Amino acid sequence: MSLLSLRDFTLSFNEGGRLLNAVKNIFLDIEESEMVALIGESGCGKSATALSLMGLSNDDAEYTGHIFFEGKDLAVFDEREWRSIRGERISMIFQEPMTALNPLLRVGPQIMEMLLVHQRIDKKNAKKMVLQMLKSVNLADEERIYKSYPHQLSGGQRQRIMIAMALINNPSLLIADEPTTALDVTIQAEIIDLIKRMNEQKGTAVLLISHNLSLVKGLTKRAYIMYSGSIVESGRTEDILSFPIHPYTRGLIASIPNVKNRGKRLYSIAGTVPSLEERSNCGCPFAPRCTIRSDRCFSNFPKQKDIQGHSYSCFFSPDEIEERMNG
Amino acid sequence: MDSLLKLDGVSKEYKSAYGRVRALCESSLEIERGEILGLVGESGSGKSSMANIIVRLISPDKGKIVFNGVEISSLSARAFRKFRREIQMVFQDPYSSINPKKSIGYLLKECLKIHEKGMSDEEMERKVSESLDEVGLDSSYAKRYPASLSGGQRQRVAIALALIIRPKLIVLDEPVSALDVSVEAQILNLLLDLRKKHGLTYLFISHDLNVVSYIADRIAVMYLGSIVELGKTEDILGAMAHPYTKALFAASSDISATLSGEIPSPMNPPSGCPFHTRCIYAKDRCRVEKPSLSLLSSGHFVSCHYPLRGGEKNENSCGI
Repeated sequence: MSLLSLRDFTLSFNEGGRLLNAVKNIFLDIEESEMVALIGESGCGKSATALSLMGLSNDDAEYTGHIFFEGKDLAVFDEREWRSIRGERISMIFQEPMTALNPLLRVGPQIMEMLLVHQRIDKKNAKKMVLQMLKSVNLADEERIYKSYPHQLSGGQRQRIMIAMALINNPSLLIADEPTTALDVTIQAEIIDLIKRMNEQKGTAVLLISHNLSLVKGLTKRAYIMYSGSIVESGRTEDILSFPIHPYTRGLIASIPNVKNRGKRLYSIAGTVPSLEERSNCGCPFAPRCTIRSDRCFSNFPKQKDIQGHSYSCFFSPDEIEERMNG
Repeated sequence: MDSLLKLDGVSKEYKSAYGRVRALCESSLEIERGEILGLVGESGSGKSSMANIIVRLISPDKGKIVFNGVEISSLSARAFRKFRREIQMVFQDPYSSINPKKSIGYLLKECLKIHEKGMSDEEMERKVSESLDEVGLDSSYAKRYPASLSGGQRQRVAIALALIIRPKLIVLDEPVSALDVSVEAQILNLLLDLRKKHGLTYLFISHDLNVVSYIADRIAVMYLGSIVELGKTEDILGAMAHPYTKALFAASSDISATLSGEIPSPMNPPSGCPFHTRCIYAKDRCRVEKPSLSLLSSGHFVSCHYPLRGGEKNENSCGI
């Protein structure tokens, strides 16, 4: 059985009597110790998915479907039950470590709080564990770091603190929501290395949420591509990046600028990601921007098809998509 | 070489409560007419200080800035005004760079009111819809407010605001960093189209090396307030001479940690070569003597005592 398994999961917000689906009928699985990527542009529902896995959605959010985690269905949990999961079994690190840390407290005690809340442990031993944790996330000089305030640390150091905080209770799942977007490329590489190492050493499964395709390459085995609240393609990361099927994924990959397409016009997907209010409730979510759409794309949601573990949701076959997009 | 803008030995220090912050250290740079010069480096390397000095949002402590043959760094604010319209800037975050309380039409007209004194109302209306059309927005956008626009549309507006007074040089400070991948491609295509149409020159600042490798004719790499390597994009990608350039590009192409530690504090910059604290090739000389930017091969400059040579030809694997 998978560690985490979203089954026909829908997250909606009630806005003035209208039910808006932020995430719609998604299926997503993460095995023990697996690293999985969830890729999409802003507003596609990837962070909303992450927050529901932490029980942190807005009060007016409504769930349908199931969030099976370690054998329990989190979708029916109340706040008290969530507290035994959040920070203990599932942890999260965020994009901007500065806003995720309390600026008025030294970072050591902030990490220690995680232990005191979730474990029966005295302060002395807790501090010992924190210092050890700081060392294992490569923050040398841990005594000084322990006593530092967030503003005294660099962006990379702060993200390490976040990782230390997230992993100190040995959760089985770490959600990393754009963990390196705010960091420089050189620091990004170090943080990714650290997440990878923690995954190998502690066996923590990782859900890496990102818009950056080159980041997930080489790091995750499997990936899900999300567009406008739906999963449009999933499979082995390598397959998706090398042989994308869905017109959206194909467009996304083709529009990445790099030295190989110098001097050529970049492929660009026309239009913009629709906002939550603009989303239509029926049909393929990508149809309004798709170059190969047909009438049925607007009336029905295409069923997911599977080719040797590579799944996609489009009415056309891979050959038809290829032909229509190039023709 | 026909240079449009020339920075000559420009230095800038900021004073903070904790001491002096050295943002730029005797940096020299020439931007050729009609080119796209990509400026890359980590945060804190001085990229934005350089941009702000060029558009004169801040003034340098030392050094000369020559634009189109005229030294503009010594001009009074009033005398500089006529150059301001020739050097425009587009910022990273279109959510904070556009006044949210004014309509797009009002903002565009304001540029004309300041720089095209005496233009009639009809003429202004025409110019506004013309410039909206140029950036791919129809004229109905003139009546809309920033809040109703997406990030990509706002960045189009920011470009229209820079473009409406027909500048020669546009400083683009991370113009696509805040945008999604699919929108980023649209904006890059737009910038290339506009350059062709109006013969514009861009200083394109970005931390995204894939974007810079795609768009720039030449690349300048900055580290701790100094330019450490400069050359044609093909030359740099083909044979990176500075260890920092190499590490930076390697980190971005296969996301592997190639540099240890972080950029040193500009409040307490290292002696000698600013990069020696993180350089795996550093020798004694690097710790005491600061290398100057010198010619390596035609048009390719590097500031390193021991530049990397041929044999280590870099296989460029940017992108996916």
